[in-house]
Amino acid sequence: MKLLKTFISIHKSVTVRPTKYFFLLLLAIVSLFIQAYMHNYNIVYIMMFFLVAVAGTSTLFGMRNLYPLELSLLSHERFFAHENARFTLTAHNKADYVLYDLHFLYKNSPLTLRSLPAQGSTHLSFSTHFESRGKHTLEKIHLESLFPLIHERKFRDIALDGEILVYPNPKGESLLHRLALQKNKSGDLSDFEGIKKFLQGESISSIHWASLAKNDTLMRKVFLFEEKQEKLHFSLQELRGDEETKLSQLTLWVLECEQLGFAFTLDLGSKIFDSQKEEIDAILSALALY
Amino acid sequence: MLSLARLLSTRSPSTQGLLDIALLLSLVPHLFALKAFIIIYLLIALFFIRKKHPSKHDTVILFSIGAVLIVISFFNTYNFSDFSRMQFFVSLVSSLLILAVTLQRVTKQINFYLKASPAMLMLLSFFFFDTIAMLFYSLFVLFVFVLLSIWSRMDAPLSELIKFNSALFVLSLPAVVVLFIAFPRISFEKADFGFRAEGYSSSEYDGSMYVSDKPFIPSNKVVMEVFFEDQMPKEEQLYFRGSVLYPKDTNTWEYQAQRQRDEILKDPKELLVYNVIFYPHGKKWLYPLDIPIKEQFKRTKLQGDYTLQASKDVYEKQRYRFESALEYTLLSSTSQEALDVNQSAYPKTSKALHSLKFQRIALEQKAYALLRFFQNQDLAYTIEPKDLDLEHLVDSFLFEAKEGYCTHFASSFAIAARIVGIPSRVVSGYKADYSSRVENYLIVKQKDAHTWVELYLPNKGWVRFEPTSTASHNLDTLQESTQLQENKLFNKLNLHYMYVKYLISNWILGFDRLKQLAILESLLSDTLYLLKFILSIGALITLSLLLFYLLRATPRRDRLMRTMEKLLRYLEKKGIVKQKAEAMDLFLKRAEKSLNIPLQEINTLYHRIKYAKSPDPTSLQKLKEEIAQLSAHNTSASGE
Repeated sequence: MKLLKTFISIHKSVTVRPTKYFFLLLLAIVSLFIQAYMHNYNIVYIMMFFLVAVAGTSTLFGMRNLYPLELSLLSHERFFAHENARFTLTAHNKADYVLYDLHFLYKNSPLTLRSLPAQGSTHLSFSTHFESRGKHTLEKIHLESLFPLIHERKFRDIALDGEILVYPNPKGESLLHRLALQKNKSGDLSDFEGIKKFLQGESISSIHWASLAKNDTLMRKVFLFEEKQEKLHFSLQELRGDEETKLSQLTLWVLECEQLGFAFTLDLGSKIFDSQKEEIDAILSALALY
Repeated sequence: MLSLARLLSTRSPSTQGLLDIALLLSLVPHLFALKAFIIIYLLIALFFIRKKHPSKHDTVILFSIGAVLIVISFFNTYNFSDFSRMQFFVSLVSSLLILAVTLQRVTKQINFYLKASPAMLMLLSFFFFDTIAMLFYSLFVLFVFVLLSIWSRMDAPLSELIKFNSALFVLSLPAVVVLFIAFPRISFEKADFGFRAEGYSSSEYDGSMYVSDKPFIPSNKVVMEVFFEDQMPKEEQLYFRGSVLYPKDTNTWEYQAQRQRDEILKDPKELLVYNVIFYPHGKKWLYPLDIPIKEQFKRTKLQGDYTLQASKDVYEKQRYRFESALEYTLLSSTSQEALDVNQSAYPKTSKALHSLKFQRIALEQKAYALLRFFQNQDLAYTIEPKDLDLEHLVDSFLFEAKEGYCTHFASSFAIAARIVGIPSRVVSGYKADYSSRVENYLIVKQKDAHTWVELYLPNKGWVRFEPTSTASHNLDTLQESTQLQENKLFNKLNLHYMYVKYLISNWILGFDRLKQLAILESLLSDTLYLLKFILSIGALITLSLLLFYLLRATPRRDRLMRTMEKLLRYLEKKGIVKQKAEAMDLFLKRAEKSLNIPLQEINTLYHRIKYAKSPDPTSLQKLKEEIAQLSAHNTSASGE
């Protein structure tokens, strides 16, 4: 009974479609039949029956080869609307036998796995993008195989659990540019007013290489626009443009602040986020779900 | 052994390598069927194929050589009026295909046609051979073809691949058997394109019997195999009639077509149905048991004297299904013609039988009196008789040499019968015995060749008489028994081997619409047969599944996971289930926290074993103990 249930389940989940070799197989069977018919050659009949039976059994083996594979979302990079990012899946073989010739396809990204050991797992990484911010689910992964015989392709579309939160597309005016304009209208963004000791965690781009060369001391530039103790304030209401433009601008600034190590507060109207109290991802999530 | 191990651990070779294996296998049957010049061409082509630095002209040179050799092969044997002959056609197609395949192979470029050529070559080879050896070879080739086809997609050593492929075939077997039995055989009569599947040897029998003093050389060459469908007849009934002979001169008996006038068969009884495989002997003679009651449409011709001939000379093994009567009355209106005898050639015999000739008793009584006369002559049976006076053969045999074999007994008895006024004729054929029998299967060999006599008795027609049985002793017994003793085991083994071969040949190679219908009829009419049939199919499926289970690829699960599974099951019962892709470390920590049970030691051991560079049996044993201890402790704790 269990065997029958498994068989039905396999049959439901795995689809089989003929390839061009299927028609060659048909041609071979017809040729054998004609030859057998002409001579009542039982050798030829036997060959023909074996060909039919092996092809049929091969279908069962092929379906059995795809059925026990499980995919689950392991991790992913930050997804921003309209931008490509990678996500990683765990492929797990729950069967007691090895799976062979597995071809995965996510949208147009193919990936091939020659074999997956019994009870074994491996990681698969794909790249994709989403058109809008907010919660998204990943599309089904198309799993396909020609194993064991190539007269038909066996495939399964595997749905993935879990959601992916897509942040607004970061674009708009650069934070550095905006700050520079506010600080010193005549200065340049790259102007700096002095140097100080480089601290671990600070941006490498701020290193003052001349000091390193002369004194063998790691120093950093203090830029004109920097106000160390000043916390930046961003407010959705103060920005101009439509909602998506404003959210994109804020996302860009949040990311730049994260990169430059600036503290900030973000006023979304309903809630004010403080970068020193909350994770950047939580702030980005709020922007994504706004 | 080492190289075998290396071979079994081989991973998929290149496409070229796979194709070469397939081509070689498909060429093997052609080596036995094609002309010598084509085989020479193949050897030349092999040289070109193996060349490491092929030149641009190789294809042209090879094509020229091939074309010339093909022309020589076929020019010598056939003319173009033979073009309609299948053998010529298939041979030519095979040769051209071999030429094309080798030319393409020399270019070292694989195209679709080259890939399809092994299958094409195998398909053509079926035209040449219809033997058990070919059946097994074809199955082997199909197995290898499937294996090669899978190999490129199966990232595993050859040993695993063989196991997988065997499982594939084993699971296919029930379907093959069912298809073989049930697939409608709607083919027309077995076509005969003049193929000579096997070499034949002439029976050296040309329809004549020459009586001389030359020794009879018995041979173990098989003449025919017989399988009785119901039951084996009694040993004394195993007379296979060949041809009916009449005297030409004192020493020669021959088949006389002009005498084969229609005889009348009355009251055929003890009917038996049996299958016969005749081995090729290059003649038309067939040897049915006693009196065949009908001929097979187009294939055999029943003669006027109820002997049987094939419609064509037997150049290949032929299967027949006959029905014969063991009890019958065979009447003839021309029996008096079988009284011709030149008594002056046998003065002593005529004189000795003079009183019997003129006795006023029935012919049947005279016939038995004649048998007694032969018995009283103290004749001996031997295959190496003394010199005989060939001018007065009967006299010389009966009164001087007093020894001979069946030919001497039969010819003398037939002449003697004519002398006393009983119409007679000699029948040549085979007299089998139970020594070559297994169940209902019987082998008839050349050494069973025999002649006996038929006398025409009023109201009874032609009746068989066995004059050889009048021999008072056998001079060859001692010598024969010694030989038999030596070969007893071998003969027995050979007989059983032949029996198995026959069963395969009859039920597999010889399976046809008649057999199919017979099975269907039995299934519909015989409940026990139906039950047996269903049980057999069920047993076959069970056996296949069992073999499949045994042939499954060895699970590549390590002992660590098997050990951990016990723990996972235990924790699952407690409601803590490991999530997909959840790391073991995190899972064990979660379980420890939720259930408040110590799992740290197990966690440490697990990771130590998992990431150890070499297997660590001590740690594994300790892990097992820890898991066993944990489950035992918690079971007893929950019990309390």
